[in-house]
Amino acid sequence: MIWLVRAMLLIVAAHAAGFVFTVAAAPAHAALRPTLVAPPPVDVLAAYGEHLRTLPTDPRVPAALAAMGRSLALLGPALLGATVFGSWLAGRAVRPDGRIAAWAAPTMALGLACSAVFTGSLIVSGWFVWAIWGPGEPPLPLRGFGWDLHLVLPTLVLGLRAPAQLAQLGATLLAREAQAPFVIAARSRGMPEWRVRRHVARMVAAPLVMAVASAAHLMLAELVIVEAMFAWPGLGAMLADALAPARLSDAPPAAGYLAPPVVALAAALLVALGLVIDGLAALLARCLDPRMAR
Amino acid sequence: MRRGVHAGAWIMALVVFMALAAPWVAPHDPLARASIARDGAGSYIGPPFPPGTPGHWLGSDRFGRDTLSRIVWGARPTLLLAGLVALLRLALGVLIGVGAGWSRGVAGSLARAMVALASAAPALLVALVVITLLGIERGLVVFILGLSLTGWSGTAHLVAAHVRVISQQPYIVAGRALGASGGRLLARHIPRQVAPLIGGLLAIELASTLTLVASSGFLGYFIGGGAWIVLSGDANPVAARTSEWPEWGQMLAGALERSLDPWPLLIVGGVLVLAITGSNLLGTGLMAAQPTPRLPRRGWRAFEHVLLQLADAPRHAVAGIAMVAALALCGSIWWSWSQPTVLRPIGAAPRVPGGHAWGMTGRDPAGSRDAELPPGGPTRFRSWLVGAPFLGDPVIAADGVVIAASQAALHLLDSAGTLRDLPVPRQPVAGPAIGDDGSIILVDRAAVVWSLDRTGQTRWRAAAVTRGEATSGPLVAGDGSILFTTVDRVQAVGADGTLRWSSDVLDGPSDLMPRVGPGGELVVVQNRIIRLADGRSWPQQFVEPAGEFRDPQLFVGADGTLARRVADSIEIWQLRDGEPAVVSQRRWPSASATIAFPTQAGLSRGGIAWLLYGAGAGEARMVWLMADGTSVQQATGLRAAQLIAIAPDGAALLCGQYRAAAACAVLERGGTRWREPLGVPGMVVGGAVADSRAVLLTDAGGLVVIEFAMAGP
Repeated sequence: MIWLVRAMLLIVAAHAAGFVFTVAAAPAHAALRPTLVAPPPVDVLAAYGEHLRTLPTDPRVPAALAAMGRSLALLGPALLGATVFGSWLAGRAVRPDGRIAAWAAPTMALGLACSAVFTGSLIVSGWFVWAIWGPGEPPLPLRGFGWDLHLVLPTLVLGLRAPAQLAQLGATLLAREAQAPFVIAARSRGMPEWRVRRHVARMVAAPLVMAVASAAHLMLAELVIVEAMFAWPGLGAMLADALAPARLSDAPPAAGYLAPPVVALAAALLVALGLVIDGLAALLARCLDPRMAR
Repeated sequence: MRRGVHAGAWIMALVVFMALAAPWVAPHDPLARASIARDGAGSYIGPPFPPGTPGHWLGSDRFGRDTLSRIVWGARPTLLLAGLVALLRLALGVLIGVGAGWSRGVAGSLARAMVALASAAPALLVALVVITLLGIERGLVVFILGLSLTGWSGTAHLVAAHVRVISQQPYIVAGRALGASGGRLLARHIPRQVAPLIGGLLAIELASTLTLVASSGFLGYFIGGGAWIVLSGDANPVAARTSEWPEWGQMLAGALERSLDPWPLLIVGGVLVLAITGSNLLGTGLMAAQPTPRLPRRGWRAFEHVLLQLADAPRHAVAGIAMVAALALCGSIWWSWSQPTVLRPIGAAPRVPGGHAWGMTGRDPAGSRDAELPPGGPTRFRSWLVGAPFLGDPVIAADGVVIAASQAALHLLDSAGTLRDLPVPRQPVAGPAIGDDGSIILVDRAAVVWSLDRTGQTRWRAAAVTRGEATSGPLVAGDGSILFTTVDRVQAVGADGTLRWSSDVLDGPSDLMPRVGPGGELVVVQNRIIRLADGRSWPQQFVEPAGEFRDPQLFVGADGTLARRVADSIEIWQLRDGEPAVVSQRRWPSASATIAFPTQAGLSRGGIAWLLYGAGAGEARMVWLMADGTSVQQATGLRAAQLIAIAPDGAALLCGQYRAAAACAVLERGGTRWREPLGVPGMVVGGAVADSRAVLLTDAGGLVVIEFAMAGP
């Protein structure tokens, strides 16, 4: 119950902070554009009150919720793929005697270094190279939205870094468990390897779930970059449009540029998503490992 | 694992080496811009140079700056920034983590709440918020604060878990039972247990900071000494330093803009990924190795122990010491390296042929608009109305007679205030010029040059080589020849009416006047240089980077300097051994946020570069770029403004619309000296300033003479 109250408070705080920040930042951003006149000063409290009053009928709320749905469409598969791939990688990296294979550390360090900014731009660049000097337009669409192949590239970029993180943690956990007395005892009594693995898996499942939650946080942070890069109309792109100053000197500002309600909604929903992920992970971890309930 | 640590240590050592040895390793100045290079086959190419170009083996960016040099020099600011952020995050994370893990009271709850809050907020967003609110113009400090405000939560989590385990150890419990105070136990046992984590955590924070820096660059929030600044929108200008730090994150963000040219992305991104991998490897390796420290109490044994540790793990010590040394060095070099470049003027200040006060459009052959603006405000406005719209600038002859051209006639205003009209043969294309001998020179729309005397009699006329519309009016060069442009040509007529040359160098029609450049021997127009003597194009043409419209325009400063405006920056040029080269560059730091290129640009006689953003419906803004790299922005209060004249100290007379009426203002760096409506209909189309008087013309036939007070208020 306390947890729920704290979560609600955090969401409301994020909403208010997003709103107030955008109002405060508007003159600074306008001054960056030499031919725009700074907006008139706004009474923040009155504007926020007005926004809260019109919130139930504000068309931006369903729009933001729809955007969250589209973001989840990237997050879900990316998280699932990262979990499966990361666990597999962790399993491969640990030898039965509990030592970690030599290739594991450099691979995972390299994977962690490949942030979405870099891998995403590599893919964008590669796409263009393929399209111009290759056999023709690549089979996967680069930018835009659609419940089809459009999902592939952003999901891929979003999910590329998390497996390294998961595998790193998973391998450490597995290595520790592989040297645990109960494993040595089970092996010495001739228990088949798959049963030993099952026991070990139950031991590492709960911390791994928490690690998946932290990987999800990593993805939430990278959502802004990935969605902006692939023009995927989710929460991240909403925030990027609202906060990123125009890169090209003759580009008109995006529709939601520096709109306080947009930033407030996106910030609140992103924080809410993070809290829901944390809550789900905590619940799941308790089911998997009753010791954590204590 | 051991090999991983070794590899990480080597990579980080390489990065530190690059930072330390940058001046000796880098083949070029990281800020120097090459406009031209020879490729492997020996032919001239323009930037961006591809990898493998002799002299630029890793290629260049699209401004011709050497990639290898920028990477090598970029190690310094990158390490400094990432190092400071990592240290700050580490300090916060360890302090709050120890509090959260140790204390069961209010302090512990507070620390745990802080950790929860910090891990709920995405670090990138918090960084952007902090940077915007504190003001990006404060440079590095703001970025350090923004990046370290929430990033410490991971460290805090880990330290808290570690400390919690320690706090339940039997020896702590025993200590408590023996009556030791909490503070004593904390001070005695916790630092030794947490200390071995520090190296690893620092390296991991380093990696995450580097990643975050690249991400913020992608979103347009650049670091590097404040390449972006927030300038206040009101009348108080904010001056900010400008520099172009080759910081890796910023370089990667710059490389991202060119999707069709993957080389910079691969090279810069590769270096960045390598550095992040290195520090990750070092960090995880050190964390996994964590020796349990058994420090002897005091005295010689302690020193011996430290020595043994050093001998046992030299790689750790070397990496640590190198990192600290690099940070210290970066700090000192940070200041010494950002010394302002001094403007080196070349050539002599341009002179108006015949000694007239304002000889042609833009005053002199350089088009400098150079004038003295008295410190006082306007004391007297006198206005006249003629029947037809005025065209371009008036001229002011040596005897003070003002000559202006309207669509229907020439208008002469003498010092007694009488206005006299002379018929013109055909409608001129722009304002008149005044020849060496006092003759009035006009170019009409059909590209015929007319020379008239003060009574309106035609002295001679000369037709252009090719038929076609004239696009810009007459310019009288120092040698007396008269220059004008038709659709794609620059043409020159001698002082006696004979055609001298015609040069088809222009890309397309433009109303930009040709300008006479350094030493009075070269003519610049648009982005071309031609010789005044024969109209031949300058042998080396500088190729522009393809794919992006940056609107390059050469111009000549009031001090005779050759300069070029490219997008929102001004390059000072020099002709070295017949090769054009950029000597220095001044950029308006917040230029990337502009939505239109400047409508006018120039260099004052005092060496101050200026840009005027006057297009569009919004308020026009004036930007001054000083030689020491600082810049000042000032809102003009006018719409559709144009600069009429500029004083050596940068004070400028601008005219445009104020509350839907024609108005003028004198702006200086630091405020508006005065702003007054003109009281005549129409928009100002041209003006001239001489002898503490300004003459202004409107497109509704209004002629206004403003007299200035000679002293300040």
